[in-house]
Amino acid sequence: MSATALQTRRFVDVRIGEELRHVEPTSNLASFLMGVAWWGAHRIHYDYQWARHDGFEDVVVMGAHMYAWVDRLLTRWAGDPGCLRKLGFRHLAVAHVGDDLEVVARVTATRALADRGDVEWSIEIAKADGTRVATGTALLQLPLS
Amino acid sequence: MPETPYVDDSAWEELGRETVRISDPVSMRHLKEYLAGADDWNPLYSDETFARQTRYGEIVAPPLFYLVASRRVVPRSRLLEDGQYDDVMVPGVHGVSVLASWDIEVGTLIRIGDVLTVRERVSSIEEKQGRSGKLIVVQKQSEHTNQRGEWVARDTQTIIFR
Repeated sequence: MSATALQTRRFVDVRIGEELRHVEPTSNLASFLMGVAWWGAHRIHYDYQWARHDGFEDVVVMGAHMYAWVDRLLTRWAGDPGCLRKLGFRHLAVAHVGDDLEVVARVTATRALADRGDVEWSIEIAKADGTRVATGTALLQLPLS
Repeated sequence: MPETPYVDDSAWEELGRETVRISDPVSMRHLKEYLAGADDWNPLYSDETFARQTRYGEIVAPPLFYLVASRRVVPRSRLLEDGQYDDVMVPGVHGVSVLASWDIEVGTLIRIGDVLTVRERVSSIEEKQGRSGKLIVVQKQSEHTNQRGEWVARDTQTIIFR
Protein backbone atom coordinates (compact mmCIF):
# COMPACT_ATOMS: atom_id res chain seq x y z
CA MET A 1 0.00 0.00 0.00
CA SER A 2 1.34 3.41 -0.91
CA ALA A 3 1.44 6.40 1.40
CA THR A 4 -1.51 7.92 -0.46
CA ALA A 5 -3.65 4.80 -0.50
CA LEU A 6 -5.61 5.01 2.74
CA GLN A 7 -8.69 4.70 0.50
CA THR A 8 -9.99 8.03 1.74
CA ARG A 9 -13.44 8.91 0.50
CA ARG A 10 -13.55 12.00 -1.71
CA PHE A 11 -15.92 14.88 -1.21
CA VAL A 12 -17.08 14.82 -4.84
CA ASP A 13 -18.47 11.31 -4.31
CA VAL A 14 -20.69 12.25 -1.35
CA ARG A 15 -24.41 12.87 -1.77
CA ILE A 16 -26.84 14.50 0.65
CA GLY A 17 -29.17 11.82 2.02
CA GLU A 18 -26.50 9.10 1.86
CA GLU A 19 -27.08 6.80 4.80
CA LEU A 20 -25.08 4.35 6.89
CA ARG A 21 -26.77 1.79 9.13
CA HIS A 22 -25.41 -0.65 11.66
CA VAL A 23 -27.08 -2.78 14.33
CA GLU A 24 -24.99 -3.33 17.44
CA PRO A 25 -26.08 -6.25 19.62
CA THR A 26 -25.16 -5.18 23.15
CA SER A 27 -24.02 -7.71 25.74
CA ASN A 28 -22.38 -7.97 29.12
CA LEU A 29 -19.25 -9.26 27.39
CA ALA A 30 -19.05 -6.23 25.08
CA SER A 31 -19.66 -3.90 28.04
CA PHE A 32 -16.93 -5.64 30.00
CA LEU A 33 -14.46 -5.17 27.14
CA MET A 34 -15.21 -1.46 26.84
CA GLY A 35 -15.17 -1.15 30.63
CA VAL A 36 -11.58 -2.42 30.69
CA ALA A 37 -10.39 0.34 28.35
CA TRP A 38 -12.61 2.99 29.93
CA TRP A 39 -11.67 1.86 33.43
CA GLY A 40 -15.27 2.36 34.29
CA ALA A 41 -16.25 1.09 37.71
CA HIS A 42 -19.65 2.80 37.77
CA ARG A 43 -21.85 -0.01 39.03
CA ILE A 44 -24.88 0.80 36.87
CA HIS A 45 -22.89 -0.62 33.93
CA TYR A 46 -22.28 -4.13 35.32
CA ASP A 47 -24.08 -4.65 38.65
CA TYR A 48 -27.74 -5.55 38.07
CA GLN A 49 -28.75 -5.03 41.72
CA TRP A 50 -27.14 -1.62 41.81
CA ALA A 51 -28.69 -0.61 38.50
CA ARG A 52 -32.10 -1.54 39.94
CA HIS A 53 -31.25 0.34 43.14
CA ASP A 54 -30.55 3.44 41.03
CA GLY A 55 -33.89 3.11 39.27
CA PHE A 56 -32.86 1.45 36.01
CA GLU A 57 -34.58 -1.64 34.59
CA ASP A 58 -31.30 -3.41 33.95
CA VAL A 59 -27.59 -2.81 33.51
CA VAL A 60 -27.02 0.38 31.47
CA VAL A 61 -25.05 0.62 28.20
CA MET A 62 -22.20 3.14 28.50
CA GLY A 63 -22.53 6.35 26.51
CA ALA A 64 -18.88 6.13 25.50
CA HIS A 65 -19.52 2.69 24.05
CA MET A 66 -22.19 4.09 21.74
CA TYR A 67 -19.85 6.91 20.72
CA ALA A 68 -17.22 4.32 19.78
CA TRP A 69 -19.68 2.61 17.41
CA VAL A 70 -20.43 5.91 15.71
CA ASP A 71 -16.71 6.70 15.46
CA ARG A 72 -16.16 3.25 13.87
CA LEU A 73 -19.07 3.60 11.43
CA LEU A 74 -18.04 7.04 10.19
CA THR A 75 -14.28 6.49 10.06
CA ARG A 76 -14.66 3.18 8.16
CA TRP A 77 -16.81 5.03 5.66
CA ALA A 78 -14.32 7.91 5.41
CA GLY A 79 -11.28 5.62 5.19
CA ASP A 80 -9.07 8.06 7.08
CA PRO A 81 -9.98 8.55 10.77
CA GLY A 82 -8.37 11.98 10.69
CA CYS A 83 -11.41 13.18 8.73
CA LEU A 84 -13.66 13.05 11.80
CA ARG A 85 -13.68 16.53 13.34
CA LYS A 86 -16.82 16.86 15.47
CA LEU A 87 -19.35 14.63 17.17
CA GLY A 88 -22.23 15.62 19.40
CA PHE A 89 -24.74 13.45 21.23
CA ARG A 90 -27.98 14.07 23.10
CA HIS A 91 -29.19 11.20 25.25
CA LEU A 92 -32.94 10.70 25.17
CA ALA A 93 -33.46 7.32 26.81
CA VAL A 94 -31.46 4.72 28.67
CA ALA A 95 -30.26 1.66 26.73
CA HIS A 96 -29.95 -1.58 28.63
CA VAL A 97 -27.53 -4.40 27.97
CA GLY A 98 -29.36 -6.87 25.75
CA ASP A 99 -30.94 -4.16 23.57
CA ASP A 100 -30.06 -4.34 19.89
CA LEU A 101 -29.19 -0.76 19.04
CA GLU A 102 -29.33 0.54 15.50
CA VAL A 103 -27.01 3.39 14.58
CA VAL A 104 -28.13 5.46 11.60
CA ALA A 105 -25.94 8.20 10.17
CA ARG A 106 -27.23 10.36 7.33
CA VAL A 107 -25.54 13.09 5.32
CA THR A 108 -27.51 16.30 5.88
CA ALA A 109 -25.29 18.93 4.26
CA THR A 110 -22.13 19.29 2.22
CA ARG A 111 -19.96 22.33 1.75
CA ALA A 112 -16.99 22.65 -0.61
CA LEU A 113 -14.22 24.85 0.77
CA ALA A 114 -10.95 25.88 -0.84
CA ASP A 115 -8.91 22.96 0.49
CA ARG A 116 -11.48 20.41 1.69
CA GLY A 117 -15.12 19.44 1.78
CA ASP A 118 -17.21 19.53 4.92
CA VAL A 119 -19.80 16.77 5.31
CA GLU A 120 -22.41 17.15 8.04
CA TRP A 121 -24.28 14.18 9.42
CA SER A 122 -27.23 13.49 11.63
CA ILE A 123 -26.90 10.55 13.98
CA GLU A 124 -29.60 8.47 15.57
CA ILE A 125 -29.29 5.50 17.90
CA ALA A 126 -32.50 3.56 18.49
CA LYS A 127 -33.75 0.35 20.05
CA ALA A 128 -35.43 -2.37 17.97
CA ASP A 129 -38.86 -1.05 19.05
CA GLY A 130 -37.99 2.38 17.64
CA THR A 131 -37.27 4.11 20.95
CA ARG A 132 -34.64 6.74 20.28
CA VAL A 133 -31.76 6.40 22.72
CA ALA A 134 -29.63 9.24 21.39
CA THR A 135 -29.45 11.70 18.56
CA GLY A 136 -26.50 13.66 17.40
CA THR A 137 -24.49 15.34 14.70
CA ALA A 138 -21.08 14.83 13.16
CA LEU A 139 -18.71 16.73 10.92
CA LEU A 140 -16.22 15.05 8.60
CA GLN A 141 -13.72 16.91 6.47
CA LEU A 142 -12.78 15.11 3.25
CA PRO A 143 -10.31 15.81 0.46
CA LEU A 144 -12.12 17.48 -2.44
CA SER A 145 -11.27 15.03 -5.23
CA MET B 1 -28.02 14.86 55.02
CA PRO B 2 -30.39 16.66 52.60
CA GLU B 3 -32.56 14.69 50.23
CA THR B 4 -30.81 14.01 46.92
CA PRO B 5 -30.13 15.54 44.53
CA TYR B 6 -28.41 18.45 46.20
CA VAL B 7 -25.39 20.70 45.84
CA ASP B 8 -23.12 21.49 48.76
CA ASP B 9 -20.83 24.47 49.23
CA SER B 10 -17.75 22.70 47.88
CA ALA B 11 -19.35 22.47 44.41
CA TRP B 12 -19.97 26.21 44.25
CA GLU B 13 -16.39 26.84 45.36
CA GLU B 14 -15.09 24.60 42.56
CA LEU B 15 -17.31 26.14 39.89
CA GLY B 16 -15.10 27.58 37.14
CA ARG B 17 -11.84 26.46 38.74
CA GLU B 18 -9.52 24.70 36.29
CA THR B 19 -7.90 21.42 37.25
CA VAL B 20 -5.01 19.92 35.31
CA ARG B 21 -4.32 16.22 34.94
CA ILE B 22 -1.41 14.56 33.18
CA SER B 23 -2.03 11.11 31.71
CA ASP B 24 0.22 8.11 31.80
CA PRO B 25 2.00 7.54 28.47
CA VAL B 26 -0.38 5.92 26.00
CA SER B 27 0.50 2.26 25.57
CA MET B 28 -0.19 -0.19 22.75
CA ARG B 29 -1.79 -2.34 25.40
CA HIS B 30 -4.32 0.36 26.31
CA LEU B 31 -5.02 1.07 22.66
CA LYS B 32 -5.70 -2.64 22.01
CA GLU B 33 -8.04 -2.75 25.00
CA TYR B 34 -9.98 0.11 23.45
CA LEU B 35 -10.02 -1.57 20.03
CA ALA B 36 -11.43 -4.70 21.68
CA GLY B 37 -14.11 -2.63 23.44
CA ALA B 38 -15.00 -0.71 20.28
CA ASP B 39 -14.52 -3.81 18.10
CA ASP B 40 -12.65 -1.61 15.66
CA TRP B 41 -9.57 -3.40 14.35
CA ASN B 42 -8.66 -0.98 11.57
CA PRO B 43 -5.05 -1.93 10.66
CA LEU B 44 -4.08 1.73 10.99
CA TYR B 45 -4.69 1.32 14.73
CA SER B 46 -3.03 -2.05 15.20
CA ASP B 47 -0.67 -3.02 12.36
CA GLU B 48 2.63 -1.17 12.42
CA THR B 49 3.65 -2.27 8.91
CA PHE B 50 0.37 -1.01 7.46
CA ALA B 51 0.41 2.22 9.45
CA ARG B 52 3.98 3.01 8.34
CA GLN B 53 2.80 3.17 4.75
CA THR B 54 0.08 5.71 5.41
CA ARG B 55 0.32 9.48 5.78
CA TYR B 56 0.58 9.00 9.54
CA GLY B 57 3.79 6.94 9.32
CA GLU B 58 2.97 5.07 12.52
CA ILE B 59 0.06 3.62 14.46
CA VAL B 60 -2.54 6.16 15.53
CA ALA B 61 -5.58 5.77 17.77
CA PRO B 62 -9.23 6.20 16.78
CA PRO B 63 -10.46 9.79 17.23
CA LEU B 64 -12.45 9.03 20.38
CA PHE B 65 -9.66 7.10 22.07
CA TYR B 66 -8.85 10.38 23.82
CA LEU B 67 -11.88 9.74 26.02
CA VAL B 68 -10.16 6.80 27.69
CA ALA B 69 -6.50 7.79 27.30
CA SER B 70 -6.39 10.05 30.32
CA ARG B 71 -8.76 8.27 32.68
CA ARG B 72 -7.15 7.44 35.97
CA VAL B 73 -6.92 4.05 37.56
CA VAL B 74 -7.43 4.54 41.29
CA PRO B 75 -7.27 2.23 44.32
CA ARG B 76 -10.53 0.53 45.22
CA SER B 77 -10.54 2.45 48.49
CA ARG B 78 -11.01 5.68 46.51
CA LEU B 79 -14.16 4.49 44.78
CA LEU B 80 -17.44 5.97 45.89
CA GLU B 81 -20.30 3.66 46.81
CA ASP B 82 -21.63 3.68 43.24
CA GLY B 83 -18.21 2.74 41.84
CA GLN B 84 -17.35 6.17 40.48
CA TYR B 85 -14.49 8.25 41.77
CA ASP B 86 -14.06 11.91 42.40
CA ASP B 87 -12.07 12.59 39.21
CA VAL B 88 -15.01 11.70 37.03
CA MET B 89 -17.81 12.81 39.30
CA VAL B 90 -18.60 16.39 40.17
CA PRO B 91 -17.37 17.04 43.69
CA GLY B 92 -20.10 18.50 45.88
CA VAL B 93 -23.01 17.46 43.64
CA HIS B 94 -24.97 14.55 45.05
CA GLY B 95 -27.52 12.26 43.42
CA VAL B 96 -27.84 9.59 40.77
CA SER B 97 -26.05 10.80 37.66
CA VAL B 98 -26.95 10.21 34.03
CA LEU B 99 -25.21 11.53 30.97
CA ALA B 100 -27.33 14.02 29.04
CA SER B 101 -25.06 15.16 26.23
CA TRP B 102 -21.50 15.25 25.01
CA ASP B 103 -20.11 17.59 22.35
CA ILE B 104 -16.68 16.74 21.02
CA GLU B 105 -14.16 18.39 18.70
CA VAL B 106 -11.23 16.28 17.61
CA GLY B 107 -7.77 17.61 16.74
CA THR B 108 -4.66 15.55 16.12
CA LEU B 109 -4.86 11.78 16.57
CA ILE B 110 -3.11 10.16 19.53
CA ARG B 111 0.05 8.09 19.00
CA ILE B 112 1.67 5.46 21.18
CA GLY B 113 3.76 7.12 23.90
CA ASP B 114 1.78 10.35 23.88
CA VAL B 115 1.24 12.00 27.25
CA LEU B 116 -1.91 14.07 27.49
CA THR B 117 -2.52 17.15 29.56
CA VAL B 118 -6.18 17.55 30.42
CA ARG B 119 -7.53 20.90 31.55
CA GLU B 120 -10.97 20.54 33.03
CA ARG B 121 -13.51 22.71 34.75
CA VAL B 122 -17.09 22.63 35.88
CA SER B 123 -18.55 25.46 33.82
CA SER B 124 -22.09 25.54 35.17
CA ILE B 125 -24.36 24.10 37.84
CA GLU B 126 -28.10 24.67 37.57
CA GLU B 127 -30.95 23.47 39.71
CA LYS B 128 -34.09 22.72 37.69
CA GLN B 129 -37.51 21.25 38.22
CA GLY B 130 -38.11 18.18 36.05
CA ARG B 131 -41.29 16.18 35.52
CA SER B 132 -40.31 13.75 38.28
CA GLY B 133 -38.81 16.28 40.67
CA LYS B 134 -35.71 18.32 41.23
CA LEU B 135 -32.76 17.93 38.86
CA ILE B 136 -29.27 19.35 38.95
CA VAL B 137 -27.70 19.97 35.56
CA VAL B 138 -23.92 20.22 35.47
CA GLN B 139 -21.69 21.10 32.54
CA LYS B 140 -18.02 20.11 32.45
CA GLN B 141 -15.54 21.28 29.84
CA SER B 142 -12.19 19.76 29.06
CA GLU B 143 -9.32 20.34 26.70
CA HIS B 144 -6.72 17.70 25.86
CA THR B 145 -3.27 18.46 24.45
CA ASN B 146 -0.27 16.23 23.87
CA GLN B 147 3.37 16.59 24.93
CA ARG B 148 4.15 18.41 21.67
CA GLY B 149 1.59 21.05 22.57
CA GLU B 150 -0.77 19.88 19.83
CA TRP B 151 -4.47 20.11 20.43
CA VAL B 152 -6.03 16.61 20.67
CA ALA B 153 -9.64 17.28 21.64
CA ARG B 154 -11.99 19.53 23.50
CA ASP B 155 -15.41 18.65 24.78
CA THR B 156 -18.38 19.70 26.84
CA GLN B 157 -20.45 17.15 28.69
CA THR B 158 -23.73 17.66 30.46
CA ILE B 159 -24.61 15.43 33.40
CA ILE B 160 -27.99 15.34 35.11
CA PHE B 161 -28.26 14.44 38.78
CA ARG B 162 -31.64 13.25 39.99
